[in-house]
Amino acid sequence: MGLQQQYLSGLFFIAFGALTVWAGSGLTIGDAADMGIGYTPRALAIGCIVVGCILLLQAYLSTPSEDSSARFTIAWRPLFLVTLMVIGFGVLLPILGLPLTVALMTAMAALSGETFHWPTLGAIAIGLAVLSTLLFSTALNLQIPVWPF
Amino acid sequence: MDLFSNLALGFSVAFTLKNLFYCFTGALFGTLIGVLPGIGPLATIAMLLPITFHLEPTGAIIMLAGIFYGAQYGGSTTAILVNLPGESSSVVTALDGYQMARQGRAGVALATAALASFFAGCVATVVIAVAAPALSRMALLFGPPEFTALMVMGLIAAVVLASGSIVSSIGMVMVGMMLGLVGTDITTGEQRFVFGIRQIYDGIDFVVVAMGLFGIAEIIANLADRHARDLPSGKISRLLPTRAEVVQAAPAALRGTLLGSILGVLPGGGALVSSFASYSLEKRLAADPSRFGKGAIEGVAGPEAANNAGAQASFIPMLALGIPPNAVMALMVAAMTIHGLTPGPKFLTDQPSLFWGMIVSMWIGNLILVILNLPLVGIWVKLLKIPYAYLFPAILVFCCVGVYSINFRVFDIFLMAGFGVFGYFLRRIGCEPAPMVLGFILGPMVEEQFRRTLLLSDGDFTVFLTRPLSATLIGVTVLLLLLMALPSLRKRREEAFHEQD
Repeated sequence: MGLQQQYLSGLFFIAFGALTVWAGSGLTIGDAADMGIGYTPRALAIGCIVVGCILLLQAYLSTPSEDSSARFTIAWRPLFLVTLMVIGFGVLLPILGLPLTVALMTAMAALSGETFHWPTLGAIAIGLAVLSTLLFSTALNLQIPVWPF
Repeated sequence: MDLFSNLALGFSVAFTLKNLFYCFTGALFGTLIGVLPGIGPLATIAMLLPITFHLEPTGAIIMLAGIFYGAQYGGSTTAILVNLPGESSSVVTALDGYQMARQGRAGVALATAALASFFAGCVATVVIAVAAPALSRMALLFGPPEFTALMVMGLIAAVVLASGSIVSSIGMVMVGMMLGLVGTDITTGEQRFVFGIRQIYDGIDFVVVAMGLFGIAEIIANLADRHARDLPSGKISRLLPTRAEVVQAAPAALRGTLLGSILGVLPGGGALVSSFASYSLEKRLAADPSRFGKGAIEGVAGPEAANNAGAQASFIPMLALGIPPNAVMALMVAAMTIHGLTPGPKFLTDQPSLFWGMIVSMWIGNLILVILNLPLVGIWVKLLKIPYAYLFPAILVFCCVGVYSINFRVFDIFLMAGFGVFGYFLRRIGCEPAPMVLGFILGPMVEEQFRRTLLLSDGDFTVFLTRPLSATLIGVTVLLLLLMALPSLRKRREEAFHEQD
């Protein structure tokens, strides 16, 4: 784990713990003999904060080595594209039905930055639309909307 | 003998045409998806879960088990052919398997992996048949403090035995437990952490979490970091190993099987630890350790046998105690719950035909895998040649439809997208999502047992230490943690997991 990652993960655990304490502030805590629903969450939240502090401390005390040069980076393009494709699927499915949604989502893969050929991708979009409809709707009989009308 | 009548019952269940068909399709689909690079058994099972929904429980469980070892096996094929382990337990297979493939011995490596796995599978099946009933009888001696201690030990062991930073993995377990508590509390019926979202009143669906963390996040990571996939050129000609190769490989497979059967049962154990342990053992025993990493056949036979035995043996604590020892088994528990089955001490006595049918079908599944895989190697190679641009939309479709079909609502698809982003973020800050998934399943169970323990002891925490069984379990847990604090051991552990670099 890189040094920067260790700092970030420490901060993440502290933030998660703090968020849990805040979100669970209205829950009954009770005591050990008669636990309320807030007891375990509070214990876990404290645990998370402790873990976060240890990670920060470790990161602070460690001497930077070659390995710790691993930097925190995010690949924005795949992150956005894949998230958009999944959310798009969820939004379009009830409106357009399965085959059209699948075909559209597959076509969106063109934005991934990977090398591809349009005719092949088109064929795959259509093929996948037909196949998934046959598999999920016809063969497995799952209750999925198929057509927009 | 009890064992034989039980196995006979199992054969009568598994050998119906219908169940053979489920076993076969499970193994086939599992391999098909498992071969794809970057998709481990966990994502494979999650993706294929919907195709088991309409089956009756026995068929569904048989098919799920088939999917599981199919996926496990498919991962090894990918590891050998393209040096891209689909799952962490085939990392070590890639070390020597890929080198063998580059030397033109891909066929031999694949056959060795298949035969070693099959042998390990046969042994592990018997081990399950013997050990699971014994363990579930023992579980009857367990009270709430013992169950609590056992689960805590399992969680800690899972952290210690996995790769990655121990402190952050413990944190991930707690984050997972926290997320597992979201929803309506079983004991009081009150809601917590639902933020007024009606769809999570019954808790967050495990499949949604698993699919987001291991399916979606994995796709994002794969798109971000493209390896050049380097398929071995030329046709795969010779499949069967020579006599000399058999002599080298057989003892390694035997040792691997033994290691896997033992390590698989332990909490936190399973395929991953077993394969790593077997690789280091083989390297240490070898007359010339320098051959390893350059295409040593023992380096394929040993770890492959071990990971298959370990994978199968990890069914034991899951079925007998209801406590999943690793993330994949946690998903199996969730899958069984969907079909209205609760694994645990009562599962064996209440559902004998299901239990034994499943055991026997595991053996049949292993046989099917050998028959299926050796002739179909050519197809897997073709599958690996599909560019990722065409592949990932298909995987996404499976993920989306799979999640949608649990409750038939689009909310789950959105939630999965959220967990995908979360999972990708976790990976980037160097936190492993696998312990989190285990924590997610065990969280509510630990809370329930913990609460019951302290209710009975009237808030006295010493009860965990005054009962011998739970004191032992707590002792082992503390010992594990102390051992990890020793710098020399920590270094050894890091070395063991960095074998691949």
